[in-house]
Amino acid sequence: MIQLEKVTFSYNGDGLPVIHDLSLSVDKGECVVITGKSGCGKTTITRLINGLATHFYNGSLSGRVIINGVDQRDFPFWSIGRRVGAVLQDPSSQFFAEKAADEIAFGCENYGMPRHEMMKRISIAAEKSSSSQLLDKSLFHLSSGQQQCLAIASIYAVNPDVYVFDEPSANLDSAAVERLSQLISVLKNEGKTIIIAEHRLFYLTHLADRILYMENGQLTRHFSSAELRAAEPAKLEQLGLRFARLPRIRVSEEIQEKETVITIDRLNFSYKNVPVIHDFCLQIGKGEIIALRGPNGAGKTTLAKLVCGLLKQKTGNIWFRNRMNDRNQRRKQIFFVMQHTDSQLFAESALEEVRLNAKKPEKAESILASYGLAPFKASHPSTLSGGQKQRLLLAVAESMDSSILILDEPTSGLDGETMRLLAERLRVLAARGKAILVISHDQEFIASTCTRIIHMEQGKKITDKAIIR
Amino acid sequence: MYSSKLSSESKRLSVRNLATIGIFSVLMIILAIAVAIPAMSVLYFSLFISSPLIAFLSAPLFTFMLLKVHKRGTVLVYCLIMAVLYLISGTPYLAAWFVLSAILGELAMSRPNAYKNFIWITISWIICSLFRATNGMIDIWFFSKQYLASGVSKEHFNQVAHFYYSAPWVLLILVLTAIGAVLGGYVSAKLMKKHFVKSGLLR
Amino acid sequence: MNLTALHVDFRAKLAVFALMFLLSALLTHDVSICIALVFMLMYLWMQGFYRAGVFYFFAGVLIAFLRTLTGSGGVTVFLPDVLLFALLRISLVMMAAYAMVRMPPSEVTAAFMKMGFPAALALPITFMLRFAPTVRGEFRTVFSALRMRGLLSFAHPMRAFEYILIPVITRSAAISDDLAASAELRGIANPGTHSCLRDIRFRTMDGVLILMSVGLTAICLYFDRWVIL
Repeated sequence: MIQLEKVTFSYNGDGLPVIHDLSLSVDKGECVVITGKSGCGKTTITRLINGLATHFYNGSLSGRVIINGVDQRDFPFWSIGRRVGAVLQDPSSQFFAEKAADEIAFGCENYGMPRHEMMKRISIAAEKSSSSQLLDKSLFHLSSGQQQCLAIASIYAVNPDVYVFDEPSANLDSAAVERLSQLISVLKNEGKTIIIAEHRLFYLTHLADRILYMENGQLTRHFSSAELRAAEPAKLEQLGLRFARLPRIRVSEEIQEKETVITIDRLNFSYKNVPVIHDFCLQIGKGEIIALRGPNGAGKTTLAKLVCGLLKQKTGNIWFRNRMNDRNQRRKQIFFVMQHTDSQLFAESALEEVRLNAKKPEKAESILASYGLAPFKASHPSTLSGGQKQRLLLAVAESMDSSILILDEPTSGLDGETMRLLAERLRVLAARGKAILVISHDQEFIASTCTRIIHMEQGKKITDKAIIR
Repeated sequence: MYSSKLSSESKRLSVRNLATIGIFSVLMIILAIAVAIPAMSVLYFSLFISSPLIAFLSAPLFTFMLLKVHKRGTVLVYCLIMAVLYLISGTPYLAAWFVLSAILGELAMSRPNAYKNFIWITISWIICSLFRATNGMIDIWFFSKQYLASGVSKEHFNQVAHFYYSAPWVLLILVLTAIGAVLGGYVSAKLMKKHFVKSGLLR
Repeated sequence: MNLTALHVDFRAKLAVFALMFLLSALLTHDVSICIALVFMLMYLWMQGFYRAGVFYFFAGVLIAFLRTLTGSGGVTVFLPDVLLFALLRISLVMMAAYAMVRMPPSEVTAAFMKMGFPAALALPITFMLRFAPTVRGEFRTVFSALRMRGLLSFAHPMRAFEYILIPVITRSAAISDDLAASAELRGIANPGTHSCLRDIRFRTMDGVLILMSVGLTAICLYFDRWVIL
């Protein structure tokens, strides 16, 4: 179905090739997962198959990419979507219409499908992706999981033979990953050929026929599903991969008393008269790393913004070291790393970024080095990869020496190696007496890093337990 | 076996290019509105400061858009979009005025490699800014009856007309706008070099 | 699928918009503008835009009320009469614009194509409609990040300008590429005919709507010129 023959590819003509003399053949109906560390070239493989690499990014390709017997370059770009459907990483920037029904119709409309046929396909696609109730909802208000399901539904309606996914789970919570996994298995059962570039492997082990490991633009290892499941965690760690099975988080009700840094006392907040945070109480102690979990819309990010002073609470108090500080004073003590790292980087180089706020600018280089970013100190932040940007922001946070750190989904889209590095740095910071609050769905990360886990629903704290290791 | 080269990129505006133009146009429009609406409350501010300020602040967005697309026709499409917006918003005479700016602005970029040259980009930006600055004047010069009939207080009209009917004042506004655009062009050249050219984000 | 709300053709919306724009430019009395506001409230209501309709309607009425209350003095320096005057008219035009802005992009594109519009203009406008609602959020994130880092200071306006602009540019460039890629991968550049889920047809109802708007325009103008003295 898909053949890559001795493919070498680079994004700009004279640059280093991202893919190097790579050959790959995928049969019809096969489900192949490509994994590897960030920057190994797996996203580029998906782009070679869906045509973005040559037609959109205008890179230079030698070798051949053959889909269903025809060279990819012989198709006009617009027609590729009929044969190859592609789901990209960030669901929030790949939908087009406001209403879900229009979004599913988008591809069909472009290919000029008659209206009655379109209607039929929309309802089938919506049913298969279990998003029938969403059809008249606005995509702007849906969770990323729902957006991702609709992105798949929109392709399903066009009915291509090949599906290519680029890190589809990067922005999803655990429930949404479960739904994604079911949806992929529906596609597999219909005999579709599926290629997935992904870091998180646990939800794919029962679906994948083959798991390919990529390194420096080449495929160097392959596993069967069973081999991957049986693989020693130490071996996967050595390869920089995430684990094939999610570790269990073991909890206990007894929370150790620590010296309190911040006390949140019966916090309330509403947005447009809809309560978002409801009587929320929490004490965070020195050296704690607290995981904050909960479904989409539970108010986790709002809580973080209230604590760090970006929003003002309606009622309730936030005490900082037993003193009541106003929002502006709090902002000096707390650093919040939001999602969308792009919007939080301002300087012309990574080193300058750390220096901007550093209490001790002369330490900037060594901080950068401890996050493995020394080779990139002169690079512009916007040219870094997602994981590097995340590390850079954490380096900024460390340089600012704030006593409290709040992170919003810091490990989304990170490979195993980067995730572990981040986890280790957080443990170092906690050992130095910082208090850390992490909004995260990443079970691997929580299990290896956090000391306490709070579950939140509808603006309320549901459970608060210690994690034992 | 053959190899496709970078130069194969078509000279026509692709969907990607058109998306860039559309999205940066939105940013420029929103920036202009953000300056113009508060400016309305102070007459002298809206007369003398608002156009030069918009010309200055939007320049980096315009420059980035041109550098990112770097193909003929970018300025043309951008100005024509403005024309369409004026057309839809019920002022066809301003739309015609913007078609003129589209042609002139694109002509300024007709040199080979002008889309990589900060000087030509700035010249094109001056043209676009001057055309935008004259919007209000066109209203008064050619459509004063409608403008008055629209219920604007006579006093307000006289104040505005006093400036717009006097050549030195009009010239002053245009010169200020051009200065704003030139400064904007200079600052954006510096910003682009500092942030995007060196980093290889822009070719 | 919620297609129960009345579907108005793009061309009819355009006509309503043009007429409202005309009214906003020609009407001199607030009372006649309020009549037009009532009409626009019904116009938005029947298309299912309840909240927006009510919001703009009451905003307009409130401004008109403020103006009668204060005469021509305006409310303090911050809300001079000129601004109130303009805002009242803008809210009328906004109501007409709202119905157009909220159309699904594919319908806009299809309507543009049907009107013989070149793709080089129709496509950027489609992207603009998709991107515009998110701009505020993008700026807000950048401002939040700047405040977290304490980098937002009026002491260095040029630096603040740079810090605001650079992330906005990087983000917007990334979003524009993502959107374009996802559109291209679903065949937006297909040179053949595109179809549309929404039935693009000029129905009798659209004709009636235009007639009603023309009627309203005439009544408002008549009222404005000859009844109120």
